[in-house]
Amino acid sequence: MAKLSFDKNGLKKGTRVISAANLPSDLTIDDPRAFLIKMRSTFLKNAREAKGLGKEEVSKKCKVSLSILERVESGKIDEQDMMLLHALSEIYEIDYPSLLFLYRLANRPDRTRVEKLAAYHNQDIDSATQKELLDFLAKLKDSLP
Amino acid sequence: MSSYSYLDEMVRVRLTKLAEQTLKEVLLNEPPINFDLLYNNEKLSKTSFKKTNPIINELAKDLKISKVEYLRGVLFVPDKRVIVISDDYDKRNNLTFAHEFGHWKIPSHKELLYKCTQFDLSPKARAQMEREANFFASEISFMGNLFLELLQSSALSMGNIKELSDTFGMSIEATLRRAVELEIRPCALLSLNVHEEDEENFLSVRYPVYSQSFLKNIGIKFNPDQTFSRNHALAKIVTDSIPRFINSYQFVGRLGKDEGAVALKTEVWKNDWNIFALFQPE
Repeated sequence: MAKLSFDKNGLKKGTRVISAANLPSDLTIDDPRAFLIKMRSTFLKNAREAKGLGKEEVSKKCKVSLSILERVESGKIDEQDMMLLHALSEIYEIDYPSLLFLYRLANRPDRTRVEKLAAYHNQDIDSATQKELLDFLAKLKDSLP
Repeated sequence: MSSYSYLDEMVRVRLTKLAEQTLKEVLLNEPPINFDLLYNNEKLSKTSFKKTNPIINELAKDLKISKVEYLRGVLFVPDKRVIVISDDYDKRNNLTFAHEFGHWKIPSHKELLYKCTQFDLSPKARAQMEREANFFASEISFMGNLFLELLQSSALSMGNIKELSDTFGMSIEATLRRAVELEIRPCALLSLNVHEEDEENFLSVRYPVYSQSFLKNIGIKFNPDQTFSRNHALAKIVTDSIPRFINSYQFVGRLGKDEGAVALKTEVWKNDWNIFALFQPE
């Protein structure tokens, strides 16, 4: 088994954090809830396409049917899909706990967790933007039903 | 097809395969399962403490568990250590060792536990992880299809379940559950609680388990709130002065109403902790 390796934030080395890649550059979102719903229904498809992978290829790798992959990509995810999410996180090199958070299978009750989520894949992000991201993510969290 | 309806088929297939691979790694192909071999292969250490040991109270406090009774086993991931709270029944401890081993072996569990010891999963996600670890524990402890082959080779009875329990070194409860969940023949299992002071509700249902063919052919489900009075035939084994060494007896009862009633051969069994009733069509 490959040895797990993590950075100081507890994130697996070399993995992207899901939120940042999906945030628009100007950070102006009129309806955070609608944005989040849209993000849930597009994120995994975008991640797959970003890796240049087709649905058939991924479904074969994960040993699931195309219909299951399509359901999951459309954001219809529950706890029974956790193992599949983990397999996808490995293929797409995405942080698994962040995926669980996105699909409401995990909470981030404190600021530290929000901060982890806001860790930008561009490590050179300035502190002001970082703060803006944190506030935005906290707002998103508050807007969850 | 089994009746593990609480887990998606895809999840079951993954866990079954993982259990098979794990057994192959240590060349285990005969029961009972050797947990020393499994743990050593992963460089995991295991310790058991009695419930009365003060360390258990400390542990429960550290883990913010309100009642020590809720604590059965703990996996300390960075320390590669499993602690099991022993109740002097080795066969039951084995299931806990298998469960915690499951958390270690299932990659999606291991990653979470490595990274986020306090990671705040939703209650549904936590329950899912426990179900997955339970399923893995059952698969590995009963060595996949080997259990089913032995189960099918003889009549379904408490006597044969007891033999299987001894063969695999697992508790009667775990063996019964797996037998009914995998059984091709129609059968159902009721685990019951006793309320000595309550004449009307002397026995209450702890949980029911059904075989797939029981659900399909008999089509009757027990009410989870159902209770049985002290006079009910099921209570006989608890109330009668049956010699200590005989801990099961049989009767035929009817389940359902009027014409729709189904005659079921029932075998009731008890030990120091539990009462089980096994039903099969007559």
